[in-house]
Amino acid sequence: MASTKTKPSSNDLSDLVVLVADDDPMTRRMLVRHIEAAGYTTAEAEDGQQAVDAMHDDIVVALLDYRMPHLSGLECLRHIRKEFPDTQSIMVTSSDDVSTAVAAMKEGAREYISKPVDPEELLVLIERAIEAANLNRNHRGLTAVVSQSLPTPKVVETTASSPVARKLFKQVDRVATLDSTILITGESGTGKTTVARMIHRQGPRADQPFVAVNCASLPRDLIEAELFGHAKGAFTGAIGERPGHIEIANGGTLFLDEIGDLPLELQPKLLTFLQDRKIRRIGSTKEIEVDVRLIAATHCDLESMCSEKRFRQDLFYRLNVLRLTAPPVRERREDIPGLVMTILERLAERQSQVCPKVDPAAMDLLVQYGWPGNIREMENTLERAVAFLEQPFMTVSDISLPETELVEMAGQSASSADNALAFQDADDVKTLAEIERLAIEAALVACGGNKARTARQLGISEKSIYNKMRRHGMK
Amino acid sequence: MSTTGLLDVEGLRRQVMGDAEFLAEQLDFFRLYYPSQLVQIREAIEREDGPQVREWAHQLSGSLSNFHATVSRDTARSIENFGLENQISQAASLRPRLEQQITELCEVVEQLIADFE
Repeated sequence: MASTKTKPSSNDLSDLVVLVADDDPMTRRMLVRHIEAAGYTTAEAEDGQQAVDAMHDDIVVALLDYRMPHLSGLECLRHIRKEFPDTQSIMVTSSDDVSTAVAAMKEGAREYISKPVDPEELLVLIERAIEAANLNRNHRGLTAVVSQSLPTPKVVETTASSPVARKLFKQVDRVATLDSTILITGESGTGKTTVARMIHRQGPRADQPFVAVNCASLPRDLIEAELFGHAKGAFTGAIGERPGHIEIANGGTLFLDEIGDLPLELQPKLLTFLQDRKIRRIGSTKEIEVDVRLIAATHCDLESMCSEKRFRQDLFYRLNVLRLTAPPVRERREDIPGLVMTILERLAERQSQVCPKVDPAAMDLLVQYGWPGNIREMENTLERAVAFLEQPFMTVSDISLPETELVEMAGQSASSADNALAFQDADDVKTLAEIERLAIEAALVACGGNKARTARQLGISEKSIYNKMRRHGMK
Repeated sequence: MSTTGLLDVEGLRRQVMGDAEFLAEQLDFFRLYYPSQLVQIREAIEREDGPQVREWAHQLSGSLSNFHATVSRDTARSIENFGLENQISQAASLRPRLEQQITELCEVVEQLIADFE
């Protein structure tokens, strides 16, 4: 009979039920053990029919053996897709059977994993599947946009499990319908433009134009004409009348990217437009009313620029009505696996190839790396890795990251560990548990993420390192 | 790979996350189940029931995969394939070899558990 067991757990993971359907009791037991050790609740099924019978709304992920008596994994998958569309399925296949994996993916399995199942890979896949299930269940609130830098810009969605990203997307939901001016701040490559598109798409002007202007990329002497348009003969080369981007955006959204680069001499004209909602093309005396929603974005610190008189304070106040901050990748590390796979899926789709898997050590590296160039850098890194990939999975050696950043990563870990013992006074003394965590982190980095080697170097058993890492919430 | 050639020791260590206790539990569990799986295969062979030979050999090969026991797993898979093709005599000829390999496997895993910590 199918059964559900709830493991006592101190965190929210125990609310998430993973169905394990396999006719082999030993495989089932092993899978259940690893999944429960990670904090999830499991339900078990001995065959395909039991799996279908055991399904309920709380099951977020179904782990289906491809070959089971009564109903096959594929038949279960079809049933689940139809009756429980939010549940994500992972097909467990034999190691030498690529065709079954392909069939499963075509039928809508989120992932597949080969026997013998690698526990670390399994947990990564489950986490990723849960993210996808959450996305389905909370679609609007969890929508994120990855980037604009791929040749065919396309909105893609991934989950946002990090507090900073969840906060941002909640704010997007809230401000989208307000029609107020919005200022989006954040480092380069964090996806400010795509956040602007999300706001437009979810707002009342969604069926009207979204016009994006990058103030940093336009030649200085052309910005005014590009924004406001010009009359015939207004300047040399103005052979005909031409509307500017503000006018073109009428009824919709005007997105001014890199607003911090707007020349100081043009700022009063933009301010006047924001106050009056009227423009005059260059060389024309005729006022044109324009109804746009303005969204501006910048990686600059506008407040500092104001105090340095490089940005007009009155314009800043006009722009800074509602402010959103796109977080850097390093502040949303828990989203990295989802972002990585979303980008890889897009690259694979674009190149009509199968999406490569990422081995756990490679994913660890991607999660640990600082990503100073944020999502844009991540895309470039992955695109480069995929281009030279010779097997269907990505390993650490396929990932090329700047040497200086890697050295810094190792240095930071070592320095964290060093600092753990540099007590200034009694208040500064850390707990033994904290010191242990820092030491393990530093050792892992020094050993290239290899847990067996780390354990050996630290003089503890392999089992101990896994237990300690689990206890410290390390991945 | 281990020197016995029966299993991939490193793979198995990774599989149980270095936990000797878990490996011991898995071995106990395997010992509980595999005799009946072998009996089912033998009886299916006697009944000349190809689909059942395939079914039980498949299940057993899954269990053996968990031990990274490539040699015995491959033998179980061969029996599975013979079951699929209804080549019962070939399946029957491999069965004693599978039993022998599994017996040796259990001994090797037991030794491995002792060496683990």
